[in-house]
Amino acid sequence: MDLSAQGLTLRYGQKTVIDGVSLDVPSGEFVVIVGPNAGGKSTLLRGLARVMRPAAGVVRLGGDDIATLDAREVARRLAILPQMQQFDVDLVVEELVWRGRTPHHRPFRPATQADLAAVERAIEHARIEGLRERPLRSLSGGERQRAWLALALAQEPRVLLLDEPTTFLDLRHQVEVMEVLARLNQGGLTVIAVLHDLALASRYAQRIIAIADGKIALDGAPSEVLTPDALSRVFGLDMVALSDPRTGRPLPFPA
Amino acid sequence: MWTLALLGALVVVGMLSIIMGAIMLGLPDAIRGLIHDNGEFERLVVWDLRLPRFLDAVLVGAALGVSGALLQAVTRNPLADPTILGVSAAAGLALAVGLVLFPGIDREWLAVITILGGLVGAGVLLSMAWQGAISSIRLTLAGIAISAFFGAAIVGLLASSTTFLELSLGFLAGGLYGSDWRDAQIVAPIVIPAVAIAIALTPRLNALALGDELAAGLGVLTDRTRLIALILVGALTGAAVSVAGLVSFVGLVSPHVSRSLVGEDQRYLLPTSALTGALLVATADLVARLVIRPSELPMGILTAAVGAPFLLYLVRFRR
Repeated sequence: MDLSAQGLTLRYGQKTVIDGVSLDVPSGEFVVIVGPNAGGKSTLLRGLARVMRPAAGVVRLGGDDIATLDAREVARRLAILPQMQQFDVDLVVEELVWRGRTPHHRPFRPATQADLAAVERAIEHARIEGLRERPLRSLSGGERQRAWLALALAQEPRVLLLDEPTTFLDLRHQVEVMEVLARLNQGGLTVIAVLHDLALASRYAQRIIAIADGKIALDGAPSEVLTPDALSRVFGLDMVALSDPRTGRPLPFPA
Repeated sequence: MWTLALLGALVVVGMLSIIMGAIMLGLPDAIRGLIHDNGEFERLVVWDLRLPRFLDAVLVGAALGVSGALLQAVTRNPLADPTILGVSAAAGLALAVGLVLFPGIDREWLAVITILGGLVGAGVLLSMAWQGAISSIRLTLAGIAISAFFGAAIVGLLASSTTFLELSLGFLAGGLYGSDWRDAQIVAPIVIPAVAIAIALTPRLNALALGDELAAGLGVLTDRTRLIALILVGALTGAAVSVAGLVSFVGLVSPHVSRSLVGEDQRYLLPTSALTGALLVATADLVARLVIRPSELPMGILTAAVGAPFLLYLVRFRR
């Protein structure tokens, strides 16, 4: 499902964090958002997910203005996974995943076969079959992140927004999470992820958007965006780039 | 399963409540009193005194248990409870104002005033907890402050009135002395729908437990959910206070006991808290009537006697 924004402006009180951003993400694209801290990346995701109301502008999801859609309807089409969960929730993994069915539930109505099927698919896709009965607090960082990912997948979204899904994970777990996302994307899911790691971004993204000072600074294929010149401007840091010997994709790093 | 056990226990306590009291009825007498319709003494005791009093206990306990469960869910704070956070005291102050300023006021109006007081208390709390989970320490401190403020106002009001002693014992300590059908008729139309709405709210409370941002992503309107929950807390606590005065700790203990029985899922936790609260208050009232028979203790003393050690246990041994 496609997601687009026109003139999206997001404010906390008087402070404008996202300033008139327009973008268009076609169905099935894998977009990575990069940029300096406090540039507005997380806020942009919140605005796109209807978690935060825009001060101006429109977000369209599958052609419909999300401000006019019911919150639950938005949640059936789009899932957002905020930054690494700090809440110490006292649940086992399977219970957590079931909560992803919230937007599909009606009060006093028992769970359906469709709910069960969605939960099972989510568990399978996130590769947490062996963890069903484990308490969340007993999981390692990578396992926990995949459990939260399964919660979002149980919503059966067609667009998935993720805020730094790989932060705090070691290299192997980072790659595991990104591989899960890549597979889901091949299955048709539109993925928009905020990442700090430019090498991961380069490897998995079809398109990279750099956000700085509340505006889109760069937007394009990894080979166009991840150039030392462009990145130097965005991050205010001298950058150089090698190229991945296998894929030819750019591998930027600070000079 | 646990639900059935609790229901069974509640029925047993209900039977005992009908049989036992200042005057002990035998089981046959009690049954005769329940069924026969010829104005005899047992019928009077059972129908006019003990059965309504047991029902009042159930309503008060369920209201407080659900209030506590709702507060703990929306504040994500295991120490939340209408007494600790000052909602009970706000309702109590309204009740005291009603009693002192309008002596001889109808009980219906008194209940309305008390519920409005509960809603004001919930409103104060809402203004503190609006932005999602606030830290346990800040919330508890704010609650203590609110509670102390309203509590002082209550004692001040009662002390300055001429009917201090009569009023204050049953009211400040909490009790069901003299409560009857009329009390049940007044508060049941509040408590039963409020509990039903609270149960309908439980899937959203489950989402809220995952954090505001995730809950919003799951299609839950977090601010509205919090608002509805706190309105329910104000109404339920006000209703309970209007019948039984300041009964402490039921709202704190019931959800914790229920959590240890059925876990974190609000869909089970909240109805179980209603049952646990009802069982706790009905049992406390039964014991209160028996320990210094033929006189009776204020029931709130007993809930505090159970609740305070339990709170200490929580503070000491849980996370």
